[in-house]
This record gives sequence, structure tokens and C-alpha cells, in this order.
Amino acid sequence: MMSKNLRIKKLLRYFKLTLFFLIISIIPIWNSGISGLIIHADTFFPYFPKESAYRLAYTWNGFFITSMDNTVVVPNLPLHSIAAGLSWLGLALPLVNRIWFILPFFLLAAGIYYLTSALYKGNGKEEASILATLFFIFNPLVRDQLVGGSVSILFARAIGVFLLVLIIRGLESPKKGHYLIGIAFISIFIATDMIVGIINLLIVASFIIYYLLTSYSERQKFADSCKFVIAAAFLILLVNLWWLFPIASKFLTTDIVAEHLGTDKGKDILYATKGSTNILYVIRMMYGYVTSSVHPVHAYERTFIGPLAALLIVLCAYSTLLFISFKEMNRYTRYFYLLAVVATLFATGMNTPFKVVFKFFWDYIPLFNIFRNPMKFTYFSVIAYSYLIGFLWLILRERIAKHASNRILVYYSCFLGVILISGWPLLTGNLIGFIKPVEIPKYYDEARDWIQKTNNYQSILILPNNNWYVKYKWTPYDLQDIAVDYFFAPVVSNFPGRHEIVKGQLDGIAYEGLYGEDMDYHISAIEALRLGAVKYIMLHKDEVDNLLHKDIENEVDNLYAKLNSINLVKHEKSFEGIDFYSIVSPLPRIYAADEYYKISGDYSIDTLYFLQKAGLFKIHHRSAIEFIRQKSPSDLWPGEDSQKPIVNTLISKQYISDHKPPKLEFKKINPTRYLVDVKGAEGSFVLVFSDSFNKGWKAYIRQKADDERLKAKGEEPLSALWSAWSDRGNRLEIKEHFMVNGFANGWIVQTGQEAKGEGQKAQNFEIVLEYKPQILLEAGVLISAVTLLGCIGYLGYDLFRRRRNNAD
Amino acid sequence: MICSGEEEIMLIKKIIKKAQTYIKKRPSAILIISFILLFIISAFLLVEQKKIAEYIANAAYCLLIIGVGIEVYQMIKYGERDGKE
Repeated sequence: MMSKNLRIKKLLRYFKLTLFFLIISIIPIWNSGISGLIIHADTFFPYFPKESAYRLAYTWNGFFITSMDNTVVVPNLPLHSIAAGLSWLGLALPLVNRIWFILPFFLLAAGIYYLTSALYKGNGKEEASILATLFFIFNPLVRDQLVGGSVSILFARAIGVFLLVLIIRGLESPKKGHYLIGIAFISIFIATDMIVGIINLLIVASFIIYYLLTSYSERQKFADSCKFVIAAAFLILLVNLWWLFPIASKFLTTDIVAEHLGTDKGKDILYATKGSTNILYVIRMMYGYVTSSVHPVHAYERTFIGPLAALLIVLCAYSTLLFISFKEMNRYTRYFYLLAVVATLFATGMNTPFKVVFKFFWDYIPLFNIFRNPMKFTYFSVIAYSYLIGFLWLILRERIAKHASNRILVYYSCFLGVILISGWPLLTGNLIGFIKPVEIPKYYDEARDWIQKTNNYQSILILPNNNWYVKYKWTPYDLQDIAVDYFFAPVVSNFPGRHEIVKGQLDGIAYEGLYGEDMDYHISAIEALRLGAVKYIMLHKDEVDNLLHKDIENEVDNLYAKLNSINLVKHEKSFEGIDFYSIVSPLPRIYAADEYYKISGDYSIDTLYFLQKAGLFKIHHRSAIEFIRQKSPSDLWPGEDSQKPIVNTLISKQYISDHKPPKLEFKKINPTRYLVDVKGAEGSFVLVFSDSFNKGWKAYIRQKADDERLKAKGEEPLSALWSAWSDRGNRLEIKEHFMVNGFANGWIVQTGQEAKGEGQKAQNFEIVLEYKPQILLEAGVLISAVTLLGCIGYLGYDLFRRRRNNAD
Repeated sequence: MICSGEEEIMLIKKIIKKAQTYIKKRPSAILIISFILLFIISAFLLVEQKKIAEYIANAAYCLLIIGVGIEVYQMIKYGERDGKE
């Protein structure tokens, strides 16, 4: 009876806590209502969650033509799967959107509560944990993240807190197995944001090293802790192999670090943030620029009271050392105090007093340049501050209780008041009117339906050139170009966040040509798009000026005039806020070229202009053009000019075969695999696959009976691993793979009587186009799934064993 | 009978003595207090004297680091008393 009462009490407590976490997580977006979507800045909320999750399950994007490799965003899949799951359950999109915002807050609150309630001791530990939780949710850093729409970052941070607390609890608990299983499950989400994931691992690693060092004298404890840490590391590794495998393959084949996090590139940001990350701002958990920003959302930072309250609460955390010395602190308090001090120093980056050390780390520690924005270290400090604030309350409470126990509530309210003042705009329910929902206009849905009916995997160019955030007539704030994500069709567009156009890439050439004044260059741009299998040109007429893009109306009018004057394009369809032009006779996504040229020039608007003048481009011809002086896309950076004068450009027609190219039909199995049915291949030919060139794309000849090709698409396994297994012995790789048409994949398929292999002499056969790293992802998924199943099995076994022991 | 002025002096003396004992026991405390006070000053100075505020804040944080360093040194030298809290 007593144990039943205890259980009910426990359940009631959990219910109350859940309700509390839920309330404080809803508060920041309470006033946004439940209609429309909150999609400001970097929210990355998927407009179509199920499709978005499907897309992330593949290592190749297939929808964004200038940035197709999907490997680095694959780890976002678990978070997007939550949205997809909610959508699949039938929840309306606005509700899923609100949960998308509430969930990270809820997890942050629950995580820090779980952490502090495990570590605090004595009377008032509940109150102290609640103080820590409220500070962790309502502080300037979280406010900054929410304004930036960084929901995935908040989510990843919450996962980091859970990971830390499971490690801490597991190290001390005799039931280590349970904590290990918790670690395995939570670590699925660890790379929801890759950089925060690394930060999370850093914080956990720093704690583990500290813990092992401090428990070195207790031999048995040290040995047990080491075993636990090794087991946890293995589990984290195994559970994350599904995305680590393909990433690791990238590290082996290309210099991904230089490509994405190049030292020089990072240095710009590092120095740009210098003025905003001096100690005065960092210690208050906010950027310096917010205090001088004119944006309405920073209004609170410009007041004196907000930053002062934030400073006071942080100083309270540091003042813990006045009440209790390091010698008297337990190891956890000591760790968090040191963490606060060190992390704050790192967060100042290239500012005094730490710049020499930071520069040393920057220059000599591999991957340290992920901290090109050193404010990321503030996240470490905020965890530490939360702990220390609660801890300070415990000390003060004890003293107050000795002298004036009736004043506990008054002092607690003061403490709480300062916390709430420092995080005030989060309590208004929509960040002083900033987080407003928007309704996506219906014409985007109409356009989407029309595109899906009329487009055969060809691409769409987006105009005008939006290289950063866009403001529409129907949005109260800037957001990323909706067209990139909405139509579920391959898009040629400037990459969101890139300041300038990249010359030598399809999107750069198109923008360069169409934005110039020379009519011939306009035509060259359209020819480049035709070569790029672009079918439609979409023109936004619903954009308005924002801080980064001025005089947009005039720009759009100019583009209309240009498109209307080019014979190679015609107006196709008009929707309320967008117009579509189509390119005359666009090339298909996959085709056999009827002409193959080698051009001794680079892929640029000037070379294309020269080729156009030389009469190389003919309507209804399907040529394959290899630019032999072309640079690889990773070598291209904005603002780079054409390397050689076009007068040196030579056109040389390549002999492939006397026969006509074969007829091709293709089917898309998924973004990483296409089946191509080849009929009547009497001689060799050039196969062009108009997707960004990548060495990971492989082409295989597969022999199949006539009636089995393509028709058997339903039988073609979705899994790359399974397909490779079922095709064993029946796949012949086509080795001659090269970049064609300036960006696409081309293969010289040797067939007919002149082909060497017996299998290649057939005229009718099938070609499988496959993006190889997908196999690595699937192999990783298998290992990770088996690990998680093993964990579930262990839990079941443990439960069974305990019940049996109880029964005995 | 002690007059009220003497009473106050006594109280101040008592506080000073207590503070002396505290600082003797915790040499880092004076640094931490200075850090806190200087940071509050720099927050007020930030409105008009940004450069000076930044300078003071840097100096204050250095004091905190020295204070923490002293604490770590004492802990290593005299050993920890884990669990006393």
C-alpha cells in the first residue's frame, strides 16, 4: 500500500514537472497563434515534412543543382523524422510547426532540470533546479537563437545536455547499463546540427577527462568509470555510423574541411565577429552588435535594464566562489565553475585577454576553425551558469533559513525576477511581435501541382538572383527563398547565404548572362541553361525590397523585358505572384548525345558566348560539351574571373561512332539511383546525366531481358545495398566518367561490335546510375539499427530478469 | 553605558575583523569581489565610455582568472574536502 502511494506520488510529481516544462516552452511562442507558419530566418522548417525526411534519407540531394551532395545534412534526418511522424499522424502543418518550436525548449528545460536535480543536494534542491531551468530557457543566448530561427541548434543543444547528464549519472550509478542505453538512444540526435554536435562531444569529453583525473586515486571507481566511458563511446559511435560512414568517405576523397570550413574563409568570419565578442558582451551572453543594432527585435538589448540584469545574474553565478572555496566544493560544482571561466575566455576569440591562445588553437588544432564564430563557446558557459545559479541559491537559502526563514520567498522572488528581466522578450510570447506566423499563398501550391505534372525531372532557374534572405509581400520578415524548397523539383539558384554569384557554375553563368546588358550574353545564358537541362525559368513578382536587396521592382521589370525579347524562351504560365517561362527544346535529364565536343576553354559565359557565335548550339541537337580547362567546383570561389582569353578557345569535335545514338528512356528509383533503358545501341555513345558532377556517381551496364527492363521498376529494390547484392555478377562498370556541359556527369559507353567485353556487345541493355556513398549510409544504418535493437533486447532481458528475481 | 557612536564603531571593527579573517582564509575572495565590482562599473561606463569599459572588463576578468588560479593552487596544495558543501 505504501509503495503504491509512493508510486502515485512519484507519478504526480512527474506530471507536474512535465506540465511546468510544457508551460515554459510554450510561453516564447504563445502569442503566435495556431494558424500560419513561423518560418523566419534559419528556421528550416520543412514545408512538406514527409518529403523532406525522404530527401534526407539519401546522400544525394537531387533538388538543388549547385549543391547536390547531401552527406553533411543527412544527420538532420532524426529531427525531420519527428516532423514527418507528426505529419503522418495527421497533425496539421501549423501545429507541427509549433511543436517544432516547442520541442527544443521542452527538452532544454527537462535536460537542465534532470542535470541539476541529480547534482544538487539538501533542502531547496527543487527550487534551485527550477531557477537553473528558468535561467537556461530565458536568457539572451536563447533569445538570439530564436530570433535567428535556429531551432535545430536549440534542439541539438538540448541533446548535449541530456548526453552530459546521462554520462554524469551513469558514472555514479551502479545501474550503468540503463544509462548506456539512454546514451545510445539520445545520441541518434547528436548531429542534428553538426557543429553543435561536435561542441556537445567536446563538453562531454571535457567532463569525462576531468572526472577521471579527479577519481584517479580511487582505483576501483576509476576502473569502473573507464569501462563505462569506453562502452558509451562505442555505443555513440555505433549508433551514429549511418551518417559517419558516408562522411568519412568524403574525408578520404575530397578535402571537405577546406571546402566547407576553409581556414581563410573562416578567418573572415572570425575577424568580422571580433567587435561583437569582447568580454563585455560575451559575459552577458549576447553579441555586441545587438546593442547598437537598429532592428526592432534588438530593442530590448538597447535598453539599459536588460543587459544589466543579464550581467547581474552571471555575476551571481561567479560569486559562488565567495561563499564556498574550491576545496569545499564537490567535483561537479568545481567543474562547472571552471567551465564557465574557460568557456567565456574562448568565447572572446581574437579579443583580449585570450587572443594569443585562441590564435594558437586556430592555427594548430585540426577542425578548430568550426569555432570561426567564437560565441559558440557561450553555450558551455550558459550550462555552467545555470548550474551555478541554482547552486548559489542553495547556499543562500541555507543562510537565510538560519537567520530569517520567513524571508526565503522574498529572496527567491528577487532571484527569479532578475532572471526573468534578463530574458524578458522571450516572455512576451512572440519576441516583441517578431515571431509572426505567415500564410503561404495558394498560388505556390498551384504552381507546385503544375510543375509536378509537366516537369520530367528537369530543373527550374529562379529569378531574381536572391543570394541571401528574401522579403515577400506576404511575409512580415525575411526568409530563405521558398522556391528552393517548395516545388520538389531540381532548382538552379544562388545558394542561400552566398553573397556573390559564382562564375563557372551553372547558376553563376545564368545570372551573369541575364543580368548583363548585352543581348548576345542573354542568349548565351539561356544556352547554358538548356545544356543544364533547365526547363522553366521562374520569376518572382511577389518580392519586396529588404536591407540586402534594393530596387527589386525595377530589377524584376528588367528581367521580364529581357526574357520577353529572347527567342529561346517563351512565357508559359502565370500565377498570382510568380511567372514561368519555358526554354525552347530543353535537354532531358538523361540522354545519349548526338555530338561530342571538347572545348579548350573554361566553363564561363565568355566561352559560351564564343561557342554560340561559332554556331555550336543548334535547337533539337543534343550535344555533350567537355570544357577541358574547367576547374572543379570546389576550387571556384565568388568573384573569380575567367582564367584565359576566349581567343584561345578551340572547338574539337570528338569521334565516338558512325552510328546514330541509341534511344534512351529512364526511370528514377530514388535521388541516388536511376535506371536507363538503352535501345538500339549499334555503336559507342556519350551518356549525359544532367545532375551535378560527382565522382560518387557510377554507371553500370546491366543485362536484362527486353520485357524486364524499366517495366520492373516496382521490383527494383529501393535499397542500394540490396540492389547491388541482387545484381552481383550482372553489373559492368562504365569507367570513362567525366564532367560534361560544364556541370553534369558524362560517360563514354563502349558498346556494339567495337566494344571489348562480350557483355557490352548487346544493342539493348540497361544502365544503372548510382550514387555510391548511399551504400555506405545503408551499411551504417544496418549497424546502427542492430545496436539499438541490441539495447532494446538488453532492456527487455533486464526487466525479465528482475521480475523473475522478484517472483523468487 | 556605551553611547550609540561607540556601538557603531564596535560593529564596524567587528566587521573589519571578520573581513580580515575571511580574506586571510580566502585570499582569492578580494580578487573575486574586485572582479564583480569592476564589471558592474564597466556596465555603467559602457553607455558613454566604451573603450574604458572594455579595458576595465578585461582587467576584471584577469582578476577572476587569478582568483580561480589561487583556489586551484590551494586545492592542490592542501587537498580537497569533497562533500563538505
